[in-house]
Amino acid sequence: MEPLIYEETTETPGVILDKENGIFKIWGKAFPEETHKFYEPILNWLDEYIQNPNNKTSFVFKMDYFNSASSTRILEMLYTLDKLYKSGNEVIIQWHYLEIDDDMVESGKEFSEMISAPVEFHPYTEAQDND
Amino acid sequence: MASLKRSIFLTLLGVFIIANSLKAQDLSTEQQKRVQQLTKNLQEALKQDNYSSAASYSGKMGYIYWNGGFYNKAIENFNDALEFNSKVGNRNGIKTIRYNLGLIYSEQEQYQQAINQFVKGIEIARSLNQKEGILNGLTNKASALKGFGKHKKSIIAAEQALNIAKELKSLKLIRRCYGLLAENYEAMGNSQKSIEYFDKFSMLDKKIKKEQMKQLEDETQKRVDDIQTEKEQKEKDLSERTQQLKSTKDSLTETKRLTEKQKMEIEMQELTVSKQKEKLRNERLIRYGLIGIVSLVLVFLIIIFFQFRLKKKANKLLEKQNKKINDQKTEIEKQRDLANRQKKDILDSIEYASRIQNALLPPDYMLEKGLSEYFLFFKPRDVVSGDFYWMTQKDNKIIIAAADCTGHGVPGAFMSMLGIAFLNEIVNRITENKHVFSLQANEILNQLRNYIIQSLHQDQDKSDSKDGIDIALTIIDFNNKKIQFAGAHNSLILIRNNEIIEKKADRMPVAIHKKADKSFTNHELDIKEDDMIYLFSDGYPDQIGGSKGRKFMSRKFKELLLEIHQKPMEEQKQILNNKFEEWKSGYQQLDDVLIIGTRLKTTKKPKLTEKTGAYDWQGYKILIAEDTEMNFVFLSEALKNTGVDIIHAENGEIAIEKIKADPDIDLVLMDINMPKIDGFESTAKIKEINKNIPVIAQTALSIDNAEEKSKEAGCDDFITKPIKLKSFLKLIDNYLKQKPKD
Repeated sequence: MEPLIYEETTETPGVILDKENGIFKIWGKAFPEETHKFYEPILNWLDEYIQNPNNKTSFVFKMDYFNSASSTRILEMLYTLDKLYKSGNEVIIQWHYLEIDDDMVESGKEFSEMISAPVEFHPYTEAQDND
Repeated sequence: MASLKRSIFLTLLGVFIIANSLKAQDLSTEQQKRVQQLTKNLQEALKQDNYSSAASYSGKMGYIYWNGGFYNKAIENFNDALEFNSKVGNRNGIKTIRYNLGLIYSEQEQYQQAINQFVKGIEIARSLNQKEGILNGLTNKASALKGFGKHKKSIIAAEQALNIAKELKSLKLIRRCYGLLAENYEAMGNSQKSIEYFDKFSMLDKKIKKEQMKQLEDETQKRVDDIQTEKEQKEKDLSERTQQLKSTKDSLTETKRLTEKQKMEIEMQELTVSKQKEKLRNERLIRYGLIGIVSLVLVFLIIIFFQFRLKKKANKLLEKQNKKINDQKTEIEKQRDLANRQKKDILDSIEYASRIQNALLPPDYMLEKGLSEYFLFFKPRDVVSGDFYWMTQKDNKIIIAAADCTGHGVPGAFMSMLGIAFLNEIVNRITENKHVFSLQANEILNQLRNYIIQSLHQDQDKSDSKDGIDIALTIIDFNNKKIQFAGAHNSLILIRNNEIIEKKADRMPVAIHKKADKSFTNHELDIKEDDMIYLFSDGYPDQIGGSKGRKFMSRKFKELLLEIHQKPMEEQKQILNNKFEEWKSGYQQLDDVLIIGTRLKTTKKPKLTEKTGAYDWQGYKILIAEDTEMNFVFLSEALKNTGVDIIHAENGEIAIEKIKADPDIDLVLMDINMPKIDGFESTAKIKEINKNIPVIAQTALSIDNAEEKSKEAGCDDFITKPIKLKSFLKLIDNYLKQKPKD
C-alpha cells in the first residue's frame, strides 16, 4: 500500500500514513481552505488500510490547532480507527498536546469518550517541541 | 559434470521420498467444496433415477470422508453407494464398496462387521472369477480375523491367499501373507512356525524394498537422463545454428567483395562518360547563363510583386484581429463588470443580512438596563458572524448567553439566527407555561438541543449534518443572589477577590452527539457584590499568532482576565482588543471572537419589566381536588408566589368532606377525571353544600363536550390542560376578587 505523505503548511497539518514502516501521524495546524478536499484522501486511505491492517496500529495525533470543520474530520478518522479496534485489532491512539494547552487535552478527552479504542495522553513542553 | 548430475539425482530422490510420505490430515476447505459439489451432483442424479452415477458420487464422498478420518460419514456414504449399486446390479461395484467398508471397520477395530463385509465381497469376487479380487479379500479377511483373535481362521484365510498370491506372483501380497502367518503363529505361541514365516517375510521384504529402491533410482535416473538428453539436444541445436550463421556470414562477405569489384568497374565507365558530359556542359553554360540572368530578374520582380500583395493582405488580417481582440476586450470588461456587480450584490446582501443579524442581537439599552456594568467585545471574522450573544429578562432574572455556531460567515450566521429564535421561544414557553422560578440553565440547553436536532433533521449516523452550537448560558437571579450556569464546550469564568472560579462546560455541543441523550449539567453558585463574570467563545483563546504562530490558549486568556478584572469595563475591553491585535499581527483572524464581561451589583436590582407573579392572595384558601400527584405539585408550584393557602383533596369524596369541614375555602380547582366520584358528580355535591363557592374545572382537551358537561354539573368556569400560567392566574384572580376578604 502506497504511503500517504503531506508536508506541513501554515494552514494544513503534516500527515504520514505509512503502512510498511508502521508510521501513522498527523501534526500541526488544521484550518484548510477546502476541508473536504484535504481530508478525503486521508479518510480513503484509512478505509483501505483497515481492510488489510498491520498487527498493531499506533496513531499519533500531535495537533496545535484545528477548526470546528477539521474537528469533525478528525473524529471521522478516529471512528475509522475505532472500527479497526472493534474488529479485534490492536489500536492505540497517542494524543500529544502542548503541556499548557488545556483545550487540546479537553478535545482529546472528548474524542476519547466517543470511541472504544484506548487513547494515551502525552504532554510535551515547548522546549521539547523545538527539538 | 559428473558431480552436477549426482547432485540433481540426490535432490530428485529426496523430493520423491518426501512426496510419498506426505498425507492429508483433515478435511480441507477444498475437499469440503468437493463434497458440496458431489452432494449436488448426487441429488441431480437421483432426480433422474441415474443410480449408477449416484453410486459413483456417493462412493467418491465416502473416499473423501474416509481420507479425512470421518469414519461414520464415510460408512454412511458407502452404504448409500451400496444401495444404488444394488439397484443397477453392479456387482463389481458392490464388491469394491464392501471391501472399503471392511477396511474402515477394521481401522476402527470393529472386526466382526469387517469380516462380514469381506466375506460378502469375496463371494462376489469368486462368482466373477476375479483372482486378484479374491486375493485382496482374503488377505484383508485374514488381517481382520487376526485382529479379532481368531488366529486359526486367520491362518486358513492367509494360506488360501498365499496360494493365489504365489500363482499371481504378487510379491507384496505374498509378503503380507507371510507377515500375517508369522503374527498369527506368534500369537498362538508356535514360535517355530512364527520364526519360519518371519524369515520368509523379511527376505521377501528386503527383496521388495530393494526393487522399489531400484525402481525409484531408475525413475530418477531416467529423469536425469531426460534432462541431460534435452540439454545435449539444445546444445546441438545451438552449435548447428552457429554453423549456419557462420556459413551465411561467409557467403555475405563473398557477395560484398564481388559487389565492390563491379562497383569499381562501373565507376571507371562513369568517369569516361562524365568527362564527355563536362565538355558538353561548358558549351551549354555560356548559352544558358544569359537566359538565367534574365529569368532571375524576372523572378525577383514577381517576388516583389507578391510580397507587396502579401503585406497588404497581412495588414488586413491584422486589422481584423485587432478588431477581434477589441471585441474580446469589451466582452471581458462586460464580464468583469458583471462579476463586480454580482460581488457588490452579494456583499450588499451580506451587509444587509448583517443589519438583520445585528437587529436580532440584544440592543445596548437592553444590556444596560439588565446589567449595570458590562462590556461586550464582539469581533466577527467576516461581515456576518457565527458567534452571537443573547439576553433576556424575566422578573428578577437575567439570562445571558455567549454562543458559537459551527463555521463562520454566512453558514454560521444562519445557525445563529436559528439559535436566537429558539432561545427566545424556549424561554418564553417555560415562563408562560410554568413559572420564572422553574427556569433551569441546563433545561434551556437541553431544549435548544432538541430544537436543533429536530429542525435540522440531524441523525447520528449521517456525518454531514453535525452543525451545532457551542454555548455558555447563565441565569443571574438578583433576588436570591445566585447564578445558574450550563455550558456546551464554552465555560463560565467568575473572578472574585483575585480568584478565578471556573465552571466547566460539558464536553458536548448543542447538536446531535454521541452523548445527546444526556442532560447538560446545571451549575449553581452564590454570587457576591462585585463578582466579575465572563462568557466567551473560543475565538479569542484559539487565535493563532505570537512569535511561534501558536494559539493564544485558554490558560493565558484566563491569566489575562485575572489581570484586568478589576479595571473599568471600557478599559478591560480596550486591553482585550489591544492584546488580540498584538497577538495576531501577521496572521489572519481565524474565527469570530466574542467576550461578554459583567460586574454583578447585587444591591442594585435591575429595573424590572412587567411582573408576572404580582398577585397577592394572602388570606385566601384554594382547594385542589386532584388525584394525580404530579398535577397537584404543578398547580401548587404555579400558585406558590401568590401567598395563597392550598388544601389538597386526593379524590372527589375527600374534596366533599373538606368543603363540609372548612367553610373558609374560597375556590375549588376540580379535576374532572378522578376515581370513585368523578369531578362532575363532586361539583354537584359541593354546590349542594355551598352554592356560592366558585368551582373551576380542569379538563383535558380530549374529553368530549367538556365545557357543556362542566356547566351542567354547576362548574363556574373551566380551564384546559396543559395550563397556561398567565391566563390561569388571571382567571383565579377574577373569581377571588369577586369575593373580597374582609
